[in-house]
Amino acid sequence: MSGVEEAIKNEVRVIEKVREKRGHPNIITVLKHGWLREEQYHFDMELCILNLEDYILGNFKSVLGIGRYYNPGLSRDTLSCLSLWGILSHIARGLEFLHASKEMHRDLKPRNGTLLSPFFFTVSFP
Amino acid sequence: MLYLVLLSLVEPGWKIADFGLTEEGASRIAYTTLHSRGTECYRAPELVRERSAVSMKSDIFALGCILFELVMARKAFPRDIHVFEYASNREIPAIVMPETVDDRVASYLTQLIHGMLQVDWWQRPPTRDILKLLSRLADGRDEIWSKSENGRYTRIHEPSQRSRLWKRLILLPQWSVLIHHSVGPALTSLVSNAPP
Repeated sequence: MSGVEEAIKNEVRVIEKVREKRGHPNIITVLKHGWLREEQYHFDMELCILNLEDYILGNFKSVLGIGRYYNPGLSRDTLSCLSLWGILSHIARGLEFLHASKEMHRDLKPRNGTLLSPFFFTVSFP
Repeated sequence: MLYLVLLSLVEPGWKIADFGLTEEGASRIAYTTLHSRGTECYRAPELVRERSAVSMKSDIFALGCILFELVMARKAFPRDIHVFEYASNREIPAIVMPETVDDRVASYLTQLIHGMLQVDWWQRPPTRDILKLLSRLADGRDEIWSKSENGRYTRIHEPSQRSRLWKRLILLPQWSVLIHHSVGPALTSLVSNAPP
């Protein structure tokens, strides 16, 4: 079995396991998944606007500021998410859920942590 | 011009993604290539060895690396060779907390990083203990820490209730404009096309 196929298999297994337990706030929710066409697997996930790597490197001004997203000030919840305490406790909680369901993530890194935020954003069609 | 205002009602939060390498079980001895053992900079010492032992505690080491990076704004082990050196001499890179972090929190955090970056996987704390320590730190969390320009954490004061309320009130007119743009035209067309 090739590496990609195995990766898809692992991904699907974890998704189904998380779905069985009715999801977890610190594990990404996949709404739908399946073969879109031949040799193209498709994951339909919730929109996450920032990954932790970009946040550490400081490439987040365009996302968290006024720009594409209509953002009426960061809420208290979002601000507490951006704190060190918030990041660490959220990722630790997600990891605890994975470990409790007998899964090793094995590839934990900032790029694999994403921020979901209840921003108001507008899409315009000129 | 048509505006679509999308409002998500979910709670904000950090999420773990990418389960491409995730494995079932608590631990395993693996004879695999280095590529399929996670990412450089976040690999535990037991993974860089030739006969690698994968366990849940390898994730704890990666979490420790992430915490180190958040505090120090640099990678704990930029290359595999650094992990290798660390496994032999067991010297954790020096942790200097930002001056704005108070001593109690700083000592807890240093202790936590030292625990998570242990060379022997069985000495690293389980996630349950990490969460317990974090809840002990929680009484100091109302002072919000945020990233400053140079990438280090500084503590800023929480905006007062009044200023936040003021912001919301200021934004109200914009909201009404947006709602008018998205809903208004549709309503007027409904009215104008209605039979007499």
